[in-house]
Amino acid sequence: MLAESLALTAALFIIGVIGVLVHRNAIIIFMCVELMLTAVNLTFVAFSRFYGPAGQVFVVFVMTVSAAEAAVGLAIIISIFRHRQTVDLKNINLLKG
Amino acid sequence: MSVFHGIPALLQAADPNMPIVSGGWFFFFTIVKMIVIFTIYMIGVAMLTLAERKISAWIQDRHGPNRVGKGWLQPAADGLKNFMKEETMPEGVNKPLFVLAPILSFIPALTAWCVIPFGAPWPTRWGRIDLVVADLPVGFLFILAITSLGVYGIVLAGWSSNNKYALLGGLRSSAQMVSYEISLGMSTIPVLLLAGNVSLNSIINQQAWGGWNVVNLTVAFFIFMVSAFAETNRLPFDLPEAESELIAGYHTEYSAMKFSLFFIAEYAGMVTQSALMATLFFGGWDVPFTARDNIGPFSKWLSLLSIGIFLAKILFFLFLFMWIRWTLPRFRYDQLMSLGWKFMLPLALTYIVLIAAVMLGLSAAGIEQGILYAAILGSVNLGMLIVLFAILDRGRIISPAYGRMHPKEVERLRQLDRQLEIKRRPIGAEGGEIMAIKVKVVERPVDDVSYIRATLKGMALTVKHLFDVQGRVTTQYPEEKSPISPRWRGTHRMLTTETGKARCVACGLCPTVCPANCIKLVPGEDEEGNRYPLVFEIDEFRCIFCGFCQEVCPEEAIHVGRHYENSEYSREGFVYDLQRLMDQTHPVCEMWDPEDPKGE
Amino acid sequence: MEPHYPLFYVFHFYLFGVIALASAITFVTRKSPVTAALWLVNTMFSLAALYVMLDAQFVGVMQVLVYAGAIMVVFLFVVMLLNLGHPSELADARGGGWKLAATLIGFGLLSEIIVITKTKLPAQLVVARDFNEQQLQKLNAVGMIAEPLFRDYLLAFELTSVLLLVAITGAVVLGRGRAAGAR
Repeated sequence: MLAESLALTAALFIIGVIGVLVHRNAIIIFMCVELMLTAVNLTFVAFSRFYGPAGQVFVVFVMTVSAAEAAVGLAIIISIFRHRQTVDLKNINLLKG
Repeated sequence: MSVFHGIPALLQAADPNMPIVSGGWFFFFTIVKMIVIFTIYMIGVAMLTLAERKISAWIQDRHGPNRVGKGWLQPAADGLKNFMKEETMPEGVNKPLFVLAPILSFIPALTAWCVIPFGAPWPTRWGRIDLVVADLPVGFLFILAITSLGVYGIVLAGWSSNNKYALLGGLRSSAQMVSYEISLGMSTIPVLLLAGNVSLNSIINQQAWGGWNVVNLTVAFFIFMVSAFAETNRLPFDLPEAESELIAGYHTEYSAMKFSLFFIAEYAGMVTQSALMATLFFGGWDVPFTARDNIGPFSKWLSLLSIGIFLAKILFFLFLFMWIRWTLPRFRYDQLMSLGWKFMLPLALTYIVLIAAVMLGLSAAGIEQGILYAAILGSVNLGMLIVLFAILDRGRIISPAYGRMHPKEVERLRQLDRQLEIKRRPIGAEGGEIMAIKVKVVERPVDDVSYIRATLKGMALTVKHLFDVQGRVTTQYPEEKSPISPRWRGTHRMLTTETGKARCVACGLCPTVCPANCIKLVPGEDEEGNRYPLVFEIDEFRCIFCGFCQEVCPEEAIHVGRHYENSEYSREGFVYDLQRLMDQTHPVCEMWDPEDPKGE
Repeated sequence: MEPHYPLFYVFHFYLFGVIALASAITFVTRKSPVTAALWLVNTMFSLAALYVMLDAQFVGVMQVLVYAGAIMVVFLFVVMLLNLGHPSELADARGGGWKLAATLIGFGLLSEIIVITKTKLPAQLVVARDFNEQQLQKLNAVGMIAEPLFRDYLLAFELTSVLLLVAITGAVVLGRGRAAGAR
């Protein structure tokens, strides 16, 4: 099952990357980042079957960090929305150029 | 010493080391268990609606539903009504999400039952059947995970309804559920600490041998109970679905079957939380005083007895849910959130630290899990309860619902009041201005307010009314009718002369005075030259029953009377023509007689 | 290296894998954040099922509890609060050039990952085939994670708790807004 899991992981990760590059809505980009993190979790779990419980411990850490990052990132999005009334990334480009 | 000492081999064991039934039989018995649980659950939820109405009626000194099959078939009647109602789909709703939301609300409540053991293992010819649908090694965490999915139904219902009240109600309700989920989980950590395992079977095992957790961990039970009330949106935490606050909260736009799915979900959630309380704190299916006996663990009759005991515990908790619902008023939303975050969570965390310290101390002292262990834990809990209920429960320490304002704020408002005093003279007087706001600062004595004790007193009063059979009063309409005043203005009646002709002379006063324009009068002339009404129709549907027509009629022909039971199958049926008005037989409204002002 | 799996197992593994993949693709192609979030929840769920099949029950339940039950709920909250849930043309994908570039990057990453996974992994790290089963029996499902977590990786654990505290404080401060902050 290792090969199948890794193939699935790769596919999910790539879908996440493409999603981040293609979307303009900040919230959907955020969710694609979460998808990438989940794909990485699957990698760790698939390997932990052969290499011991360290993989699953790392998954716990990844989940924790992902939760923290989601909270802070959404707070930032809320602040940006308060100022700009938009979450379209095309309009949030003050530092450009 | 054993309570069951006299009972013979009925409860005696089968082989205690019987292996679990395996293979195809396992699959088959799992399906059977699922079907049984589902059926009992659905019937239970239906009966629960009836129980709620009956118990609420008894507490309020009424009878409750007693018509359909002496009241027992009322849930069936309600279900039938919901099937036959029109399913609304308001304009602008997000259709897939609108339909999905009640389903998402219903599934977690039912799925959480998969890991709850409802009876002692049952020995059969093919092996031992564990009376739990899925004995997961991560049992209790599965329940936490599934109940945290209950938020989705509410969030989606609120959002997809295209209705700002529903959105507000949905947001409030989901914020409430998420906040109390944390306290729910935190309060069960001492239970898991004591049991050493997350699987529910081992928690029950530990309680069978070490005393029920309601004795060992009373404060955790208290926190769990309060959080369970908030999780299921039951009073006193039911602001999100309070009718007077937010129309109906997140299920405003729902009707018929989708609406009843929400309610089934709420009652199913109640049953699940009751089962959890019974399992985590009251020993689950453990029959008290039997673990230490020489009665073997596996026997058919023990399984049945344990199922019965588990059901009894669940029913007790369901009764508790309803009892508290009809006793307490609901919390305001900010009070609710403050309670969850500022009181429940720190209390739960402190309690975990305390229990862990006590457990560490006990194991360092070498005391094994047993009677002495339970006794020491029980006394620690008793101490904490006394601190909580007697010492902390005064004023605003235990309740963050700030009934008093900050003293500086009070002073500022008093200053404002003094300044406005000058301007508050009436308009036109010397130096007067438009009436300014009057500031009144209400002081409440802080130290006399007690929440938990007041709640307990209220519950005592409620249960007194519950069991007071004589005091129940309900007018059994239509056999008994409430008395109506002789001046009651109801359905119209046309009085007749001795010859059977209507007294009406078609003067045209009543259609003129009628505020609702419900009288249609076409005068005609008969052979002797008298006026009579050719067409005289009153639309009882438009009528506002003001009685002006009776008061203005010079012939005292048209009257309003003491009758109110009109029902028709169509609007046209409500238009009473002259013959029908003459055929009415009810007594007419007695008007004030100027010759007899006192009414004798 | 791997034992022979029964058909039941393989069938369900492929089933959940396909569901996860299909949900992820659907998630990326939705225009409305609410629908996208729900498809992502579906992906999380199927992945949780996969974790349980890979003998990681605690992590599987944690996935549902943390990701599907908390993080995605927070996403939905924010979307609902800011009323961003309606599908709008503005929040649509970027132009064709971007999509092409993204696809190329995707292929590049894919080939990189395939190369990496083809390498042989060091043999001395491999544990016994039923190691996980034994750990499950000895310590229970939670203990399997807790033992390494609190022994070998204690420092990381403590640092993560500090991180969580910082994140909570940061989120509260950022979310409060200017008026509350200036008071």
